[in-house]
This record gives sequence, C-alpha cells and structure tokens, in this order.
Amino acid sequence: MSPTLIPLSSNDMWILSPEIAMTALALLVLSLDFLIKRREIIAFVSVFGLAVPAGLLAWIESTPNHPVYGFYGMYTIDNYAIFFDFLFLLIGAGVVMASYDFVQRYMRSSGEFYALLLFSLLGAMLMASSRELITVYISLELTSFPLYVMAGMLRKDIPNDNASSVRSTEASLKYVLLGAMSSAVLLYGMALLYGITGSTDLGEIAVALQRGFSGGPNSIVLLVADTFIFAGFGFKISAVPFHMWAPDIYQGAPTPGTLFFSVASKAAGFAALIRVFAAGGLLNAGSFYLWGFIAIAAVATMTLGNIVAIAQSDIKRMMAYSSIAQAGYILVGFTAVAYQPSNQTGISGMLVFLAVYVITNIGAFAGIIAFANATGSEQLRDFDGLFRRSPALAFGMILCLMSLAGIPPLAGALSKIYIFVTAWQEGGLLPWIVIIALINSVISIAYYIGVAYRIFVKNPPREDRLRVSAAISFALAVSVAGIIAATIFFQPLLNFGVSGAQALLK
Amino acid sequence: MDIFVRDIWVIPLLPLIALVLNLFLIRPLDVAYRDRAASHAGAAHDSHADHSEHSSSEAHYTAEELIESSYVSAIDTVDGHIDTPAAMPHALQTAQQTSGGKQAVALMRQWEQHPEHPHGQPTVYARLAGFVGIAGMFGSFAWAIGALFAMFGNTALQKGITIPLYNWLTFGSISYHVNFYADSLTVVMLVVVTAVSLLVQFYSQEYIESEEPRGYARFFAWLSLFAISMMILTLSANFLMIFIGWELVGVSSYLLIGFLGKDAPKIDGGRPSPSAAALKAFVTNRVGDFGFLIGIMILFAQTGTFTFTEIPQKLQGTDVTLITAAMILVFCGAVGKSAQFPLHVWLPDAMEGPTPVSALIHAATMVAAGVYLVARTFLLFHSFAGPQAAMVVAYTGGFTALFAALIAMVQVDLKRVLAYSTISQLGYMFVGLGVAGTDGPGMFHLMTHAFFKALLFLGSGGVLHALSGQQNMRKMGGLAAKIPLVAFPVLLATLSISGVPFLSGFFSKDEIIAQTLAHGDIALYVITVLTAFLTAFYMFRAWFLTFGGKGGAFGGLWGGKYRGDVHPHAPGMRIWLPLMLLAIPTVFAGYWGFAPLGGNFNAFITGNPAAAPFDNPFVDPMTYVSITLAFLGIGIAWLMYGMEVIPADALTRNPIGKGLHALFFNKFYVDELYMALIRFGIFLFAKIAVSFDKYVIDGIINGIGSGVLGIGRGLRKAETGRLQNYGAAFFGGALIIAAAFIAVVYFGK
Repeated sequence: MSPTLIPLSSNDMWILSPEIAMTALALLVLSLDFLIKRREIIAFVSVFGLAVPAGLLAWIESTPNHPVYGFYGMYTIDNYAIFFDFLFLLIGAGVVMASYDFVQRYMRSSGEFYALLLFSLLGAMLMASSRELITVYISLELTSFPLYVMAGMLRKDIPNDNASSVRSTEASLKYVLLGAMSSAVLLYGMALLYGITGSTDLGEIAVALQRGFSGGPNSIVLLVADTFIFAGFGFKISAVPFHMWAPDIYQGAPTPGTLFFSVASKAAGFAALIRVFAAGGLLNAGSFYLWGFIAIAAVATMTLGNIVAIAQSDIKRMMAYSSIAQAGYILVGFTAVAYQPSNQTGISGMLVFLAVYVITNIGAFAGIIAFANATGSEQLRDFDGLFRRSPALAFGMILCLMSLAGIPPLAGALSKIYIFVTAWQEGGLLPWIVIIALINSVISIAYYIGVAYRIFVKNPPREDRLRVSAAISFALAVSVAGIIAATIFFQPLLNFGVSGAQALLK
Repeated sequence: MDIFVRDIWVIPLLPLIALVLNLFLIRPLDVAYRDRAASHAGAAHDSHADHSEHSSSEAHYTAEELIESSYVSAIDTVDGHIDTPAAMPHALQTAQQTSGGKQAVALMRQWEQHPEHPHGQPTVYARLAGFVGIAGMFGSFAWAIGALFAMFGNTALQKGITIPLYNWLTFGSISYHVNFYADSLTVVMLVVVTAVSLLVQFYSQEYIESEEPRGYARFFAWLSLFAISMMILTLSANFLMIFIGWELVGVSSYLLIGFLGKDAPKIDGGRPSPSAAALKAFVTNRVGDFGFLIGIMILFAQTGTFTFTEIPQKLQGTDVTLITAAMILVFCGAVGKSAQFPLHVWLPDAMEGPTPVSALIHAATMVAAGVYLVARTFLLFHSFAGPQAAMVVAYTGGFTALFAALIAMVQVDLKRVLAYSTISQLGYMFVGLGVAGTDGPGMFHLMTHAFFKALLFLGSGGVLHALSGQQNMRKMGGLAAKIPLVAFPVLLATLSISGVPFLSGFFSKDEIIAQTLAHGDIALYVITVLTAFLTAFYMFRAWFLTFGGKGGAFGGLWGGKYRGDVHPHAPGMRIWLPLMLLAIPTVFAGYWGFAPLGGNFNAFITGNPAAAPFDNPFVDPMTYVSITLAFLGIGIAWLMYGMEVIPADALTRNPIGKGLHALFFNKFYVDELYMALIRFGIFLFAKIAVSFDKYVIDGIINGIGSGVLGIGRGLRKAETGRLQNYGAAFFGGALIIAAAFIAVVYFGK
C-alpha cells in the first residue's frame, strides 16, 4: 500500500489550537531563558502565557456545536478533555507561582524548569484528548520525560541536609528507569489489546469488544491486557503495587517538582486511565475478575498509603503517602464505575475529587515550600508552633490539610462524600469497600491533624517570624480561595464534572 | 423600584468586592510600601547595622534578620526603654543573646509604638483601603434605602419574596439551595446594618489612625467582612444559611475584638487583654450555638427542610412539646449572641475591642441578631410552640433588662456602663417579642436602639480619643465644654434612651411597656417600668460624670470640673460628623411608630396593611407613670452627680447599701461563679474523663494505634531505596496479578 497524504481540515487545527499555543509558550519560555536571564520575566510569561491556551479552550467550549473529533477520530476535545485541560492549566499556574523562589535558590535555572513544566503539561493535555492508543502512549512519554529531568534539578544542597542534591540525582535516575519499565508494560498491554481487536482506536476497540471475540469476557488475553494497561497507568497514579517509586522520588526531587508530580502526573494518569478503560469499552467487556482486581487495588492503595503515612517523619514523604491514599479514594470511584460501566456519577465524582485534590495539594505544597524557603527544613518536627511564627501560613496549610483529611464542610469532604455515596448506592460488595474507605479516612485524620497539632499546640523551636515571599503567598492564597470557592459553589463544579462524564460515555 | 428588592444580593456583593480588594490587593501594597519606606529610613543607619556582624552562631542570624527587617533600623534602648533613636543594634543583640528571640520581639513591638517610628502614619494605600471600604458600604446603604422605598406601599414585597441564588448540592432526592429571602423585616434590618456600618467606617478612619495605623487596611477589611456576614445572616432564607451567617459574624467579631492584640497599651490596669476578651466572646457564644444547632436539627428532623417559609407548612400536627423544646433551643443561640443572662458575660469584656467596633457590633448590629432570629421565627414561637416558649423569651429578656440595669448603675468604666445598658435594652426587645402578638414592638425598639446606642458608643469613642484612651469616668468630668461637638449628640441619645418624650427611644420603649400591661403581665410590667427608671438614672449618672459636674452650666448639665490628668484634645470632623448624622434618627426614627402622624411601623413589618398601629402613648394614662419615673431617675442623677446636692455615697453608707453596691459592682459575681464552676466542675469532670480516656479508650486505641503504627513501620522497611527491589516489585506485581487471573480463569471453568 502506497502512503497517501491525508488532508487535514482547518477544524483539526482549531481543536488542536490550545496545544499549539502551549507548545509555542514552552518554546518562548525556553528561548527567553537563553536571551534574558531574568527570573521575574520568565515566571511572569509562564503564568500569564497560560491565559492563551485557556482563552482558546474557553472559546472552543463556548462555541455551540463545536467540532468534537479531529484527526480522523484520533483526537477529541469533548467536555472530558476540556475539564482536564483546565485542570492542567491551573496546575501550571499554581506550580510556577509556588516554585518562584525555590527555583532561584536551589536550582539556578528557572527557565529550564518552567519550560519542562510546560512541555509536560502539553503532554498531559494531549493525553486527556487522545482517543487512540499510540497517541496516548506518545503523549504519556511527552508528559514523563520532563518529569525525569525535573526530579534531578536540585543543584544546591538545601540547608540542614547535605545530601539533598545527591539524592535528587538519584531520584531522577530511579525515576527514568522505573518509568521506562512501566512504559514497557503499558505498551505490552496495548499490543495485546491490538492483538485481540485489530485496532488502536478506542472507539473501534469498544465496538470490537462488544461484538465479541473468542474467549468472551473471561478471555485471559483480555485480562492480561487489562492488567498491564492498568499497571502502566497505575505507575503514574501511584496505585499499589506500582507505587514504590513515589516516596523516594517525592523526597529526593526538589519540592516544586514533587508538587508537580503529585498533581500533574496523577491527574494525567487518571485522565488516560479513565478514558482508555471507559471509552475503550474495557469495562463493558470486563468481568467480575477485572472488577475484583480494581477493588483490591483501590483497597490496597488507600490502606497502604494511610498506614505508612502515619509513620513518616519527613513531610514530603508523608505527603507522598498521602497522595497514594488519595489515589486510593479515587479508585473507589473507579471501582463503582467498573461495577456499573454506565455509571456517569461515578466518573463525575472522580473528576471532581481529582480537581479538588489538585487545588488543595497545590496549597499544601506551597505551604511546605514556603516553610522550606524560610527555614531550610522539611522535617515534620520543625513545623512545631508554626502558628506563632507565621499565622497566615499556618492558617492556609491547616485549611488545605483539613480539606485533604475530609473535614466537613470543606470541598475535600464534599467530594469524598460524593464518591462514597455513589459507590455505596451501587450495592453488591461496594458498601464494604466504602466502609474500608471510611475507616481509612479516620486513620488519615491521625497524620493530617497530627501536623495541625504540631502547628497550633506545640512550642516553636524559635520565636522568630517567618518571611513568606509574595509569589508563594499568592499561590497559597489562590489555593485557599479555590477550596473555599469549591465549597461554596460545589454544584457548579459537579455539573462541569458531570458534563465531562457524559461526554466520555456518549 | 422592585429591582432593589429582586436584586438585593447587590447589598452583600459590594462590601465583598471591597473586602477582596482590600485583603488581596491594597493591604499587600500597603505592607510592601511600608517596608520600602522603612528601609529607606534604615539606610541612614547602616553604620549601626554593621555592629551586628560581630556576633556569632544562631543569635547572629536572627539579629541580622531583625535588623534587616526594618523595624529596628533606628532605636536606642539599652535596658528595654526607648529614649532616642541611636545605636539600637547593640541593645537588640544583647536581648537576642540573653533571652533568645522573645525580648527582641518585645523591643520591636515597643519601637513600633514609638513616635519616631517610620510607620506612625498610615500609608497612602492604607487610606485607599479605607475609601474602598466606605465606598462599598455606601453603595450597600443606598441600595438598602432603595429596597426600603420599594417596599413602602407594596404589600406583596413586604410579605417577602425568595431570591434564588444557586443550587449548592444535590444528593439524590435532597437539594440544598442557597437562597435569599427579603421581606420588610429583612429590609429594616439591612437599613440599620448598612447605615450604622457606613457611619462607623467613616468614623474609624480617624480613630484607627491613632490607635493602630499599621493595621489600618486590615481593620477595614475586617469591618467589610463583618458587614457581609451580617447581611448574609439577615438575608438568609433558611436555617442553614442563617447559621453560616451567625458563625461568620462570630468570627469577624473575634477578629475585631482582638484587633489590638495581646499587649495593647492601656492607661488603667486591671482589664482583660483584647485577645482574652475575643476568646471569651467566641467561647461563650459556642455554648448558645450548641443549643441553636440542636434546635435546628430537631426542626429539620420533623420537617425535612431548613427553609423558614416551608417549616410552618410541614409542622402541622407535630407534637407541640417537641416544637416548644426546639424553639427554646433555638432561643439559646439568641441568648448567646444577644448577650442575655446567663450568657451575657462576654459582652462587657468585648469592650476591649476598638470603640468603633463596640458601636457597630456590640451595640447596634450583631447583638441584635438574636432579636432578629426570634423575629424571623416569630410564627414558630407563637403559633406552633406552646406558650412556654414565648414565656421563656419574655422572662429571660425581662430578667436580663433589670439585672443589667442594676449592674450599670455602679460601674465606673464608661464603655462598661454602655455595655450593660445594651444588654438591658436587648432584654426589652425580647420582652417585646415574648409578650406582643406581633414582632412589631421588638423590632421597633431594635431599630431605634441601634441608632442611639451606636451614637452613644461613637460618642464614648470620641471621649476616649480626646483623653488618649482613658475610660474611667472618675477621671473625666466637664467634658461638654471641651468637646461640645461630641457632647451635643450624645446628650440627645442619652435623653432618648432615658425615655424622654418625643425622642425615638421613648416611643419604642413605651410601646413595649404598654404591651406587657395589655397582655396582663403585671410582673413584666413592674420589671420594665423599674428598669426604665434605672436606665434614666444610670445614663444620666454617666452623662454627669463624663460631660457635666458641679460648676457647669444649667446646674452641672453642661461642663464642670475636669478630674483627669490628660489634656483633652478636640476630635476632627471624621469623628463628630457621624455623631451628628446619627442624631437625626435618634430624634426622629420613633415617629414611624406614632399613629397620630400616620406612622404604622407594625403594618409595615408584618406586611399586613390592616394591622393596627401602635397605640398613641399620650392617650394612655399609664404612659405618664413611666414618663414620671424617667424624669425622677434623671432628677436623682442630677442632684447626686450634677449639682452634687446629695452626696454620691448617700445610699451606700449603711451596710445594706454597701453590700448591694459591692454585689452590683462585681456584676453579681457571675464571672467568679463561672470560673469556680469551670475550675471545680468542669475540671473535675475533665479529670474523670481524662482517666476514663487514659485507661479505657486509650487502651483500646493504643492497641489499634500501635498496631497500625507497627504495620506502618514494617511497611516502611519495604522502601529499601534500592532500584532492583522496586523494579522487581513492579514487574512482580503485574506478573502475579496476571498469573492470578490465569489461575482463576482456568480453575474457575
């Protein structure tokens, strides 16, 4: 067959325009780094440049009957993709602001960091929009490679920790190797799926799976494909047992990098996981075994994350396990979806939970970074009496931690309750999983409120006032405002999530 | 015109915009600008900063930071006292090395109070924050006036409309909607809140400039926050939102009472610190709110709704006892917020906040929220609950009115007299709500009281301002001649609260007294009339001690001997103008309820044009009893403190008088009683609880906890840090799962 040139329409370019703008922005930031070494300008361009893709997205979204598919069905800009795209842009703005001072102090290369961050977000946006396995895979790699570099960017030891830059390099190396393994496993799973269905297009895969094939729903090949694909994305979302990289790399990487891994990598992983499993018809074709596997992964993820988090003394490691546990709660929603694949409330619950988690985690990490900038420490015990040293910082961090712990009426609690109620209503074995999740929530209070206890009750080691820079205060304030807004306007957020879920299941 | 009511959400929106601007834009600018101004000042003293480089270790690091941090750029203190700006860093270093950070921080604080401190004046941005706050409030006030006029003659609007905002959450079949509800009650309350807020904000410009210039922008932000909370409370259409507003006003009250911080400078000792007072207010209110919350839950359990307009429809046929209990519990919330006995203890202490705050929150608006709550749920109290509920309201109010008036008679702190007077007047409002068949009289008194009490407080603020913070009336006297622009409106307000005819306080108070008699409640009638007499006495006692005294004009009414040692300085226009403006409603607001001139407040507030207006007080012979008593009270005060014909200790010479004086002066020892109860009762209970916790609960939890921690520690060991292990776990995990699937599928067949 001779290669034919496939004509592209202007519609294709239009729906790809946010990603094109993102690419241009990343390249601009990279060249700015060569031309002018002014961190203020680079950071300013990075944050406000995000307005261009955001504006394009809003334009597409607000156009009635805008084209949804492009590139012959490989690429889509449905409400599901738009939901995630906005989330990624938000992550970009939050992380750039939160990292502003840290980058200068400990990395000495702000432009590189921001450009890598933007490239990674570009990959994440493509991941949320891809409807074809190869595109998903390439986007995944585009998301991951900048992360590997970011993990190793700590050039200067932070005070009180002489091995930190060495550990950063180590983290980077580990991340590359383990990431490569996970990609290999993912590709293997995709290959098996192609083998069964004869297509890499998610829509066609769904049709093929529905039409039936030899072996039926309990086909071993399908189950192994499911497993490997889940393992590949499970690495990104740090689901047990594919989570082992997370604590080491979270601790070793520069803190802004850690923040970025904990939100962007996780959100992108979930975006692709949900799309491949739901739109690709894997859940519809799945059996009780697949459901059981996902349920076990959910239970193991949240339980392990919560239990190990209690025993941590380093706040970044604690947050690593906390993020594993939070992924577990989202997987509870996924379990409900796996049980009843047409369950759009389950998917919308996952989306909303993820959005609230992202907003909150940015705030919590902004607090940690601010503290590290001021004191040079990331040990839990040094947070003693923070309230007296910086009331505003303490207040912001506490609000974020309480939202993560799910203390009503904060948005974190609302989204958690929403997922749990949705799962409970499915019946079957799901109420049992919800009960385990509730027990987990109680356990998680121990370490989240443990930090609050240190901040408020314990005596500070020193009576000085901590200085928090404007950029990071702004990041924290935006996150706090986001939590409050998500609490007050929960239903509108939920409606956005529901429209995303509807688009996915259409 | 209807648009003012239909889009009533504009009223809280405008202060919200002001709050956001002030907190996130103007205040950061203010702080940044201040630092810059300070570092310019500090540059001149670089030679001093060099000294710090000789010290060593951690202390050096902090001292250096402190010197960088502008506050200590130029100051000379060796033994903790500020003399002249010179070589400060040395003193600071000594402080650092001897006592760690603490003493240095104390020095910095002291320096901030110093007249030569570069932040002695608010920056341009701080002043801008004031303008933004005032502009927002002015917009709200104008809108509220618009809504008031839209309601005149429009019975449909007076009865109330629901303004849907948005759907907060839908869980299955239950939907929680965030709605506003506007009826005549709402609008009257909003006019009061916005009018007093506006004037208080205007007044605060000058007041806070001298008290705490560094917190200028923050202060205006908190004032806006308070106004928003109060508006949410007023506009809420259901119990859920009113509770949110309720707690929000509690938080903003906390922030504002404690505004001056832990170690605010005070002329006279023996008073609690603002921080402690803020905490006390917050905690005491929680006690009432606990009951309030349970009451709301009972009503929700019975009706399945929080909405005020729906609850009565769904309550038909419910057990009356249960509703009575629920309403009394709801009233507990009102008791806390409106400082009624036995939860009144926080209000006098709250006077440690800045005086504009006392005027706004602790006299005119927030403390009236309890009255508003009862008025809002008036139907539930009177038509659904048993008669006991209304009785509890009326008698709590009556008892508190008399109780607080007795205490107010002998206090020597000007602001405390006013605080007890507020408690007493709030008691009147509850009497009005408890006995009358409509919420008219109670709300009428709420409105008139808000104006004249705000005026009294702002006037006392003017006095405090003139005397650099002196609150003790023994150190005042004869001030009317020195600050006449403050004294004149305050005199009008004093006459109004004392019940002198033709002023607003007379009409509203007399209507409540008449209602007690009309409903045949002799006990309450005696209590309220007696309180009216006491009110006239203690208010004029305060007047004479502050503004009058022997040797003044008109027999000591205007001017006299000044007993203080601070030279009084006249306040500026930003202080006396709000007083003059408040004097207008202080005189005229009462005519809204005066039937001969066509005023029918009752019909407006109930939304029923056929509702009977308040009785003309001058026709009722009983009115003249209270008028006589009021003049008697004023006369006695005049003789004792104005002309000083009767010695002030005439009544307290004998042992009974002395004992009573001590009892009243010490506020019936309620605070002491509570402290004893807390110390012996609660601490004992706590000890028992602790030991139960320690031996029973902890045993169980620790068992589980150490188990969990043990597992955690064990699992933590799995994180070896070795790449090979991680890779093996990853591949192994995937393979084991795949193998398990294969096994299950094969053997499952």
